[in-house]
Amino acid sequence: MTRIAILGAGGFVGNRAVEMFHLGGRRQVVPVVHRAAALALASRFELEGRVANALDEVAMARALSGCDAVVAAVAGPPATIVGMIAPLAKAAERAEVRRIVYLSSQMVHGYAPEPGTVEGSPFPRARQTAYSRAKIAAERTLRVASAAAGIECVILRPGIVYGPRSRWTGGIADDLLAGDAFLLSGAAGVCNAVYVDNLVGAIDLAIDHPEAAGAALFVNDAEALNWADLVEPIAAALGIERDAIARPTLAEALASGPSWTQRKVIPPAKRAFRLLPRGLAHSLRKVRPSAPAQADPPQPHFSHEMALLQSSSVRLLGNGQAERLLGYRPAVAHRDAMRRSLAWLRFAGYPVA
Amino acid sequence: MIRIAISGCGAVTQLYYRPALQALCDGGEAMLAGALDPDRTAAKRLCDAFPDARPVGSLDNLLALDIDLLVVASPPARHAEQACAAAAAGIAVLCEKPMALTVADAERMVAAAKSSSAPFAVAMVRRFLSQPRTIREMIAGEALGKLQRIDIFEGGRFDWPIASPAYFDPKRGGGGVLEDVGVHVLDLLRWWLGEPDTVRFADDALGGVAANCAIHLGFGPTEVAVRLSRDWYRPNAYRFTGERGWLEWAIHERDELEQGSAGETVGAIVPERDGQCAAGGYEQAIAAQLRAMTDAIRGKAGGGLVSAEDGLQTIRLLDQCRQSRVPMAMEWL
Repeated sequence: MTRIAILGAGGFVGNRAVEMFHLGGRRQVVPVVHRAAALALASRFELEGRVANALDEVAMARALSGCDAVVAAVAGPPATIVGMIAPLAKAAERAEVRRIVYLSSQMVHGYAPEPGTVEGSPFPRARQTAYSRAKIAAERTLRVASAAAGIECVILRPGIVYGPRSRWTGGIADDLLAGDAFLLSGAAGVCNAVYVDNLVGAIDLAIDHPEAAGAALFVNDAEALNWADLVEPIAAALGIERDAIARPTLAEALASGPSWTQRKVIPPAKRAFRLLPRGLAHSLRKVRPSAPAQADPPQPHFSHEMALLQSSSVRLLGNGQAERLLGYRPAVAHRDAMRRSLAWLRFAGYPVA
Repeated sequence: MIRIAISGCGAVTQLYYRPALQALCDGGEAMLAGALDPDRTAAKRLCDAFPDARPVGSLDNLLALDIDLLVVASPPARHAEQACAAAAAGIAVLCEKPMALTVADAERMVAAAKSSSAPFAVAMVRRFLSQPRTIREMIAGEALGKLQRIDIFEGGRFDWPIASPAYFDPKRGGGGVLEDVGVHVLDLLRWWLGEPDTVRFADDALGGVAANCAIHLGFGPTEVAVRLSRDWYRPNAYRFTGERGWLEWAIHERDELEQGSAGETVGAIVPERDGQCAAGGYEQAIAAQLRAMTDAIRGKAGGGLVSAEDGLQTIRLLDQCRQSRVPMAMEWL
């Protein structure tokens, strides 16, 4: 049985990889996190978690000892995304790890990629963010550092990863409940998405397939999805009518303010006293209204990141590399993926019908 | 002057007891005599902040420091042994939560407390926050009419600055969400409503310690649903629904209690601070609890302290949860 270190085991994708690999029984899992508290989820299982700072080569080498491969699913600020790569490659060399599977992102091609973009396309200079620039730098560093260390590397570039514990599932539910969710009007709204279990399936394949060494691969669901395919099922489950979802233009979404007006209209605070039992009111320092009365209707706050992502009209199909090199075929269809995602929303305490 | 020693120099000590002790020492009411921790550096770091304190290497050496009070803030698996030894030596005990990992250990602590001449209390700090006190008064006074149900959600990513993965070791105990946050919730519910008639419990542990759990309790006509999570944030809130209105405590988020009727928010109540409790911060609440303990040692009231017997009942309820445990439904897993 291969022993796999999962860096970022406390994060969304890393945690799911721990769950699937451990429950699948084919792999021995070593969760690796940057601080002990991040083992809270992995500790649901009887697993030996390890703690190592991703920037500390010596500590990381200790954490990787005895492992055949490492899955790097570390989230963090741009400095960490880039800074962890060279120490990781050296640590993997010290620990005699055979392969690094690195989770990059389709964002390296910009939030709205050019038509015809494939895995080998040059990274565009425009339409980049601090995050995507960091991922580009990390990929380049990984290629150089892993070659120098004699370690194989496979780079996976998922797009929007949704499912249990994803910001693109729970976060959308939060936005819907807050009245901040939207679908861009007048845009194709293409969503290059992958259900988290399908991504972990690709990671599983990338650990072993010899042909994948050195490759960078797009990982998507089988279906051609739009943002509506992610937002509308969640809205329906929360009892929110499709027509109630805002449809701003890109310009309107980008122009929305950073905060939004409180919705509640609060009657005078003194009414609160009437509900209190006699003798209790004296023990309260004061009673005051929760918020000033508002006459204007609430103004939603649209995420600029979401607006830019929804402006994409290009499906990143790649050129079938993941299928050819890994034999990757998404195991979970989108319909089932959403059913599972809604089950998790209910579990997490959302008012899912 | 009360002479205090502390066993366990981890996060709760560094973050909360240290400033509380500092305030007592600065006021000339107490002094820290010593500290014990397997990590001698942590014990030394704490003692360096107190001129009369010294790190020691064993519980016997700590108890030999002529102390009046031992604060037991070590891992829960050590609580019973350390608290019982202190009580047997006639030293007052303030024991961090969870009081014990097993009912048998908690019963042993109760016996030790009864046979000791010194005060013995379990540190249930939330009773020293002002909001739970006001809620208790409102429930007792039927401010909402007959209480029909309570819905509780506490969650978010676990970020307590624990020192090592050993925190999550089931054998050391205390590492699951029930033992960590759940013990606070169960203690408050018992404080507000008495003992439950029915208990149902589910969690997501799969050979280790739980990150999520759901507790359903029946207190006569009042139904209580508790959902605790370490992996996803939802607004943290205690919502009380009665015949005549509702009350909401947005724990960790707002100091005020919101109150309303028929779905309408009518106001926010800022609970009073009365010297025995603190609005909002845990730091102040820990300080208030420690002060109550030193008052008790001086023979004053020590109001709000949780007795060993009271703590035992919460451990029994915790045990009932474990005994009735079923796995949570996780269709996506």
